[in-house]
Amino acid sequence: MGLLKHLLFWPYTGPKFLTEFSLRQVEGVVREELTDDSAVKADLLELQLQLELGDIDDDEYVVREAALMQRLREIRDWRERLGMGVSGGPVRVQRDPDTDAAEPPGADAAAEPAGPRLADPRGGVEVDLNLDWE
Amino acid sequence: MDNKSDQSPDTPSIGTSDEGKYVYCIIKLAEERDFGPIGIGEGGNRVYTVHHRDLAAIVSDTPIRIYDPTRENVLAHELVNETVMREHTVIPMSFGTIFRTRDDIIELLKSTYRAFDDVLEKMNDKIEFGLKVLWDRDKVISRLEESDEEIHRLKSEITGNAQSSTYFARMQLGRLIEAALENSAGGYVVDIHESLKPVAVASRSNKPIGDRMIMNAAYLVDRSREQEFDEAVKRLSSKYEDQIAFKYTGPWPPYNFVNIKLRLERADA
Repeated sequence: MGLLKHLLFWPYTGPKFLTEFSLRQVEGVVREELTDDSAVKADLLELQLQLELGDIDDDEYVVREAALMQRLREIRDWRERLGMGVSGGPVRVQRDPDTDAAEPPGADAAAEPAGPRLADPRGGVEVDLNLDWE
Repeated sequence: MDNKSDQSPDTPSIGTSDEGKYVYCIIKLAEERDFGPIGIGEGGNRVYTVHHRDLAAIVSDTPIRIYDPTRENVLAHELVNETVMREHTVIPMSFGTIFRTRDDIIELLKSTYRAFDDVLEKMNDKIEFGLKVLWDRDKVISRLEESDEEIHRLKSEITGNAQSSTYFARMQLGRLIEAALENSAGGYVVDIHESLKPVAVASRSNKPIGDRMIMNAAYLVDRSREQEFDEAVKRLSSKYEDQIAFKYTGPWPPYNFVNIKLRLERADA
């Protein structure tokens, strides 16, 4: 919509525009909240440290770990639902199309719903070595 | 949430009862080997090798599933790597890496042969040690309140006349203490780092965990210098005995120095 029209009809189009705009913002924040596991991972590290230092006992650790695992699973669920990557779990290496020409890459995998992710070794695998001083 | 979240922790979040292969690490080894029933999962699965030329992946059979990073699972992963690294140089895989078939692993080894071979060469006889340094924040603060002249003065000013001490004086005290803490933590870290540098190959600083930790580092050490490194850590620990606590762990496979990034894609996308 042109700027002039936008301004002219603002009393009518404005509320809708603003609602949509803020919904998009909210959606972004919610999406972030639902799919970010870094806070849970930080909590897990801290929990492990507390156990190692003897601040909590084994029983308490088990209870709190279970709660964190539940949160991780929920995040994983959301990531899968929103089509985002999930760390861990099955990895399937795509076959070289030259040696397996009858099947286009990914075709056999698509027929197997249980294999939700592919790792393509040609350019898909990086092995980094970091020998710096930090 | 749909019914997925009703699953018990042990139910696979995705997949079926298909057998997959859990991969622990990559080593250089031409002959097949069996490391015994020490694999991850309930059954105590046999840990064995899958080969391409002289590279071997250390694997055990597993249902295709996502393993939660529980202490039990992580320890199982580590136990295998620990066992293998007693005799071999290892490139560790990330926790939870599962391949569908033996052929897929061979494909990975084949296509990444040179990179793995090169990294194994460079990592030959190198092991990792973890060093976490912790302090008692409150104790350090009360010591600062005695030893630091300006903090001492401000502190007694505030406690001396609680009525008239301003919000700003308190704020300033807080800031001074923060800065002094940071300064003193930095001093320890630099000294520890400098003392260990001559006996290590490389180091990595990770983010400290919680508010008592001032340093969370990993050091890569040549096996031949393990004892020297050990002694250097012990010297530091007795030097700072009543000030900071050391949590010293290892030897580990070089988790912090080698990174295998497998690009994961959804097959059904």
